[in-house]
Amino acid sequence: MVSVGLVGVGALVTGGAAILRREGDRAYDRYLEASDPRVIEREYDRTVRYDRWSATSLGTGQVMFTTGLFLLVTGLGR
Amino acid sequence: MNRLSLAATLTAALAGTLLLAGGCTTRDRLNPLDPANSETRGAIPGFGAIAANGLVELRWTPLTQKGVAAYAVHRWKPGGTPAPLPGAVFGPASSGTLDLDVVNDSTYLYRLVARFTYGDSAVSLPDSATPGARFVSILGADPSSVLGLSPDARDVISAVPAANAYEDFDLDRDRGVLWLSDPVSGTILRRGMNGEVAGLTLVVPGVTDVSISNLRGVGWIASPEQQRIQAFGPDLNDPTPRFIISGLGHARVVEAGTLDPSVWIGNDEGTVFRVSPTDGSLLEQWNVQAPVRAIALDQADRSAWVVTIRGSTNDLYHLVPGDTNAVAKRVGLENVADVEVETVTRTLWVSERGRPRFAAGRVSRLAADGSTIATLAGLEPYGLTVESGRDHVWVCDLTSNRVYELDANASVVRRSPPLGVPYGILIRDGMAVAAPLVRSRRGIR
Repeated sequence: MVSVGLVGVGALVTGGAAILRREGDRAYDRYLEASDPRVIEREYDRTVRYDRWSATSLGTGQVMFTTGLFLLVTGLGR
Repeated sequence: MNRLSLAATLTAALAGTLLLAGGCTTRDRLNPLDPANSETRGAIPGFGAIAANGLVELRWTPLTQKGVAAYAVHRWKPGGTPAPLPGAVFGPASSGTLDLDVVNDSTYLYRLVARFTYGDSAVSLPDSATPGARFVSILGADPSSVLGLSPDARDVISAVPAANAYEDFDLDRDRGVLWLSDPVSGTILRRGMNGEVAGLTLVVPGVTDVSISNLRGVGWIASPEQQRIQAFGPDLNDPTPRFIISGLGHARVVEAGTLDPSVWIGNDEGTVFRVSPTDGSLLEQWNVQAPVRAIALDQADRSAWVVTIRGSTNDLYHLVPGDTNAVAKRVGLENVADVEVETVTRTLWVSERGRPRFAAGRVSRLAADGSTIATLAGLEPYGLTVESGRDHVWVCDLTSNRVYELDANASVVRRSPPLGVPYGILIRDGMAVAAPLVRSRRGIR
């Protein structure tokens, strides 16, 4: 049942990546609208952080999902 | 290693690669007020000071960022310190103003200050403007157009496109009308300084050169293919010539005087004629032994400088009425594009283009004996014009695509932003402020 678990967790982590990406977009919009240099820097840093988390989550989720699918199809995970 | 271990190892490697790739992508720092923005460095973009006659127009693009409370303008003279322009405080949606408290031919520096609700402010890069009465008209080849520049030549204030590149143009200074020759369509167009139609289009097949006698507002047009010179005007809506001069061979160059009202004509057969402007009768003629390519009048003594082409080089003659001798003052000039007499010191400016696209030309100021007084090399000059009452010259450079103002020592005192291959230039003084802003370019600081 490792394969099923990998597929499920992979799907959840990928979904989380989309949420993080949306948060990154929002932070970037706040960055573009800001006029205060402190806010500009803070929101840009936040954007970068969310983008990294999103990319990490997307990569990890996709790998887990694909691996789980591979194991499920080949029957190796049983 | 069993298959499960292999799958786990591959998964870890793939995850690591994706993590690395994800960490490398970053978004552009597009907020113009961001000090890390590589284009603006945190300065307000889109601010420009555009000189005009007796005023400076200040334009800016309102910021889209939140928290803008007001805009203010600072002004100072070169070497001075920025100070708020009195009364120049504007709302967040404002986009421009006029500074009327200026003196022509004085240089001012301006910057825009945005004040924010949280108490801080941001500034634009400074822009300078030198208001004046001068209006600069440029023939551009890419695209074919007539450009109007601000008095300090730092901004393009009008651009009138043309179907074909004009061969030549001249200015009726009294009426502010440009006569533009289009050899492709065989027409002469008359246009105001901002491109408005000022008269009927004249049909002159094979037109090359055009010259205006400002005394009468008569335009003289050379058509070597037709072997004649035609005079039109002063009625700009009269399409028939006042008279036609024939029998002068392939007359290619014509230059009409104002102080000296006679008309000088040069042909491909190597003869220069001086004719009466009232009936076109021949007054005098010279044999310069080679096709004539340019004539510049020195109206103070009613003489003329004549450029001929011999092989790949040019010779320069100074012809004086009453003296039928034609002796070259200079020989071996390199691809002369234009000549004009500067009336203050009565010297001759010569534009030698040199070999095209090699920046091997020069602009020189010559004395009456043909000797060089001053020169500027390392460019590819084309059309030039002298500003009346000053010893400066304006010249088009095909290397930089800019227009330069040179002083009597041939030193650059002003330059335009890059233009679309400028090759002809005229300057009119004392023009009223009327030019609408079509587009502007930021100049060199």
